[in-house]
Amino acid sequence: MARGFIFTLDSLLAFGLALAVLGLVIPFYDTTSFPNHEQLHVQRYTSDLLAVMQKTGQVRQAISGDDSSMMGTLIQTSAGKCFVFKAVNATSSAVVITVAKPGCGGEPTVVAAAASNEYYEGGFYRLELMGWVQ
Amino acid sequence: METSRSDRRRTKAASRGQMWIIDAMVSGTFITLILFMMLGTQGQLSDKYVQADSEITFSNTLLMASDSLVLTPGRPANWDLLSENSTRLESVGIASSPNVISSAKALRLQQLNATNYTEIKTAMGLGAVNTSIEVTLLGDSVPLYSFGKKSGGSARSTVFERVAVLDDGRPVILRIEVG
Repeated sequence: MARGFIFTLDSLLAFGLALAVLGLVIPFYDTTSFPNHEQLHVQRYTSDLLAVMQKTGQVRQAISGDDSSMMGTLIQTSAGKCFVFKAVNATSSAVVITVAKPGCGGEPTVVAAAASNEYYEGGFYRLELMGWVQ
Repeated sequence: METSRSDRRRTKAASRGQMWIIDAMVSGTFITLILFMMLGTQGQLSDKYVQADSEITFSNTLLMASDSLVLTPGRPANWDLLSENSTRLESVGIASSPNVISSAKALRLQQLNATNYTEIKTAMGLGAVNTSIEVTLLGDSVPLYSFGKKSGGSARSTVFERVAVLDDGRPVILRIEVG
């Protein structure tokens, strides 16, 4: 009886150790991830796009109420890439306008964001562009 | 009587020895199995890391090349005015300011394709791979300016797209493909 008890303890200890080792290794194997090409790509594409929309005056037009030019640009961006633009009044924190690329309802796989500021007609606006890959 | 007691003692001792051997074998098997599993997992992790590291290095090189093209004028800034035989080209950029592409530099890049393809891609840090650069109007498919050799849709080719605006105000896509 005593011998059997010792063997049970021994096997329990060994099993516990084995589980602990596996438990330490498996999470690394499952979750090891690195910033990949697609993430770098979407990040740069999003910040480029916001810069271009500012340089072409589309942001100012959108803030003043005409988002047609910005919408035209968003529609012409690469297929599979989605964007939502938002301009927030820096003083009141009110969202002035939101423009989204049509047909972007799916689950995002890679997400990126870019932000900037714009001074327009006596007010400061915080600009945010969220980009993702469907 | 004495003989039978001694036989029993021997049998008991032999049985205890057998149990220890079975225990050792089972433990040995388990330890070996665990070691093999750990080695296998470590090998897979190592392969994954090496592959990811190589991909990241390649992506970063491509990213830096595209940054240099779209965000900088290159070095020297007047590289587009240098002769084809000049060795002064250090980095290639076709922007007059960040995200604004100079048509003159983009055109010069296209012209140098015939004579300085290798020098240009070496200056971009892409010396060992085929490189293709195209500047196309946003939403269009015909390139306004092109440089290099396309990989022809090879499975190993990698593409990076950047959005910019031409110096005349039209939004463009700069597509750089290596492979």
